[in-house]
Amino acid sequence: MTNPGLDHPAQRRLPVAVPLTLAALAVAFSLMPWLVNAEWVVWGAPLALSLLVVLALVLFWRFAGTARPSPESTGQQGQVPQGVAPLLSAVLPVWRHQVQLVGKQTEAAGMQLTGSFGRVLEQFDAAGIGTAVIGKSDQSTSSISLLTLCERELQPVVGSLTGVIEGKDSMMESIRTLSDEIKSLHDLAEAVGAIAWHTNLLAVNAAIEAARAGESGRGFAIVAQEVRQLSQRSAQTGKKISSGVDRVVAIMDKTMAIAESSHEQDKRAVTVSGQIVEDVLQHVRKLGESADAMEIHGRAIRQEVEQLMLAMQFQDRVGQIMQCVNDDMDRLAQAIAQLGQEDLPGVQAWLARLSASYTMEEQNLR
Amino acid sequence: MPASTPDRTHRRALIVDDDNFQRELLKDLLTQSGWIDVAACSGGQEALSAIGRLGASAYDLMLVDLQMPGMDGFEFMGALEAAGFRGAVVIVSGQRSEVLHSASLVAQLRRFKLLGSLTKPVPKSDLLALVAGL
Repeated sequence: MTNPGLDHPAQRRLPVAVPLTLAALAVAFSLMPWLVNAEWVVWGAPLALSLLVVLALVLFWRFAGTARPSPESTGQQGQVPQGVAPLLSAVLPVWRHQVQLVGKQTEAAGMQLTGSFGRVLEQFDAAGIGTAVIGKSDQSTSSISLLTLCERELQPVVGSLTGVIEGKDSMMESIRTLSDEIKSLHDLAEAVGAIAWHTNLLAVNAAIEAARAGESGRGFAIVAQEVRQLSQRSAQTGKKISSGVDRVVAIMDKTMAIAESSHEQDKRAVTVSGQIVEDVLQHVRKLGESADAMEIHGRAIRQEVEQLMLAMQFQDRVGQIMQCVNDDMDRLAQAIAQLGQEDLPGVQAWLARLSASYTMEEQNLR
Repeated sequence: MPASTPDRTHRRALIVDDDNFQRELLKDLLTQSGWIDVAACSGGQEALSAIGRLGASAYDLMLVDLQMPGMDGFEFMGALEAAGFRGAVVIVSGQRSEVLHSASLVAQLRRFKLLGSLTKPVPKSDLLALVAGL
């Protein structure tokens, strides 16, 4: 096997024709005295000798250059050391298999990593992490969160219930006034009772005096006068009672109006409060569902991350394969460098040693 | 003023919204429908100051936004009730429907006359339909 590009430099710089020409000239000059005349001996002989010296130097230089060993000339003339070619033809497919295995492992791991990262992102999206406020808002940062909403709703409920209690105060005041009025009516009733007692007494007296009729008619006149006065007092008391009853009725009406108004307000407040509490409960349920969903998605994310960490171990596998190939290439280089001193190992022995360094089943070339 | 438009000359409305564009838009809509006295505030505190000057009963209608910096719409409605306002309220917000629903409940509990809630951007016909009864 020849390679023109790897010829020795001396061969390129000095063609073979040069020493041949020098030799021919030297022979010609040395023969000149016999061919032409004797005078040629005077200057022809030294010239021929000079040419021979030059020829000798040229030949020495060229020869020395040709004989100089060179790494480029060694084996580059198509001379592959014996045993290397079959070893290479056996080892190279193994190396190729290892490199292809690395490629496959890397590709598979890359796809697995991409898929896992994609699934992790999906889980993050599903859990609402990094997208928006919990509750599927489309207005992200400007949105009112569910927790804030619960707080804003419950505050007026508490205020409303306080208002309901305060609303009862005015009604209680009216009822207290009504109680006082009823007490005064009781006093009036006692007064009327006293009048009745006196009237009864007078009636008895009148009966007694009637028994004496005819004897002293003036007694009847006095009794009649007293009865009249009593009846006037009764009439006044009656008016007072009537007036008191009117006041009681007015207070009762007012109290009833307050009670009815308060009742309507309370009823509405309780209804709306109930709706708000239900609304808040819905928010809380939603928050609970979000929390549950986050827990579920969190578990899924954890599983994916575990898968990712497993997938990341492809680096170890690839590193081990590459180390096998690298070590084997070093061994071959070393074996070739020591060819003069040691013979190359046999192909089978070489492959057995290489396969002994495998760490995975897939590394075996089937 | 068209004959069919109700006389709003003596009614006073107050718009509370931090968005300048929305304030101008709502003001124009009310003015077009016959409301002469329409004021606008950029936040709850500013609105409460205005109410403090004229009195809560001076206003017949409040258009209240919910999401505002500082005092939000919920807090503003609480302060509005404390100030004694018992007039009509329309909630105007860009928030999602569940927030509008919650705000409507709160407005009812505050004993306002809740006319309804509107999602931004506010359609003119919807706003006019809500305030038509005033």
